[in-house]
Amino acid sequence: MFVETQALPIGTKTKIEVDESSSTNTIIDFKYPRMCELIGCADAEIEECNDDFLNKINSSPDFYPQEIYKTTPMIVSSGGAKEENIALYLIQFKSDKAKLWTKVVLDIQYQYPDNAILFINLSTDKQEYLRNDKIDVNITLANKGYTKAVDISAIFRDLITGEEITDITIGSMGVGNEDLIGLSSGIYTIDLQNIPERLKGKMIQLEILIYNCPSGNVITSRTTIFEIQ
Amino acid sequence: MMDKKIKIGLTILLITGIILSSGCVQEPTTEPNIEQQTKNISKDELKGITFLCGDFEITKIPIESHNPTIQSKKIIIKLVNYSTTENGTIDMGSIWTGGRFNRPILAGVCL
Repeated sequence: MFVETQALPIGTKTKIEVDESSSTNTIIDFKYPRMCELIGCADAEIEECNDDFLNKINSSPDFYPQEIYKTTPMIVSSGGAKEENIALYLIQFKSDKAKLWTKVVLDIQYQYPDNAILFINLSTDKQEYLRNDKIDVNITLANKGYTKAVDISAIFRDLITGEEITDITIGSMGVGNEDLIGLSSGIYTIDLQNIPERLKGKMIQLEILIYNCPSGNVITSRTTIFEIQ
Repeated sequence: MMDKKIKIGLTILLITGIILSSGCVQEPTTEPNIEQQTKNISKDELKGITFLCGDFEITKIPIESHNPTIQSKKIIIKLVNYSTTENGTIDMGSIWTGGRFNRPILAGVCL
């Protein structure tokens, strides 16, 4: 289960902490099933993985896996962005027991590199939309450097799985020096009729990416959440 | 920045977590053939195997930051209901294809 996925500028540092004082678990009797017996062993790799995992459970002095979250390796995508997935393992095993995490509180912090252009605000006009609605996305940026143009794109992700459903270019913005003209803002309209039908009924994490123009590298990104009914 | 808590109820077979935990998480070398990876499992085949099933609520809360170089979020995952079954019925129709996990992972409802 993915918990969090986001495209980030290269150089972004991620900090993840489990708030243990707010998290709870319970221990139940449970014997880890041999999955190969269930799904078939046509893929020998799965069998090996399964046996290896069982060995680790049986040889571990404590519950296994020891960590309940894992950050998968960065996938460098086009545009100089890296994509990072954070997955949670809500079950840990011993030979005949399982520790079920009934509540996990994660604190996630992304620290962006100082790219002169900073994301100040991202918001949408509503928190719930119908399938044929239009979304007004309000973006505010600050620029500590020279005036420049940036390109803006949007990625729609399934909030739960982190799966990217679609990405679209939504426009560009001229961003002047903050000390001279103040913050730069724009409202960009996305017509939901132009994006895949399977967005319907989902909670969506909208990710806005700001690209350097003309290099095409991602400068910064932000996310916001809404529902499409 | 939207700070509204959004809660989502999900029915997720916890066995998904088992397989993800099993070290089988690797880059697929080829596109999987989903039809080939789907297998119907009878109730008899499930005898003696205990499954964990549960419902989750996931809440993601963006945290306001005065420092624009920092984006913070709090994510709360609550297991609001769980049960175990030795003879449950697993719906193999659903296959997780999200993200990098293109392996046949059970996802369904324990009855």
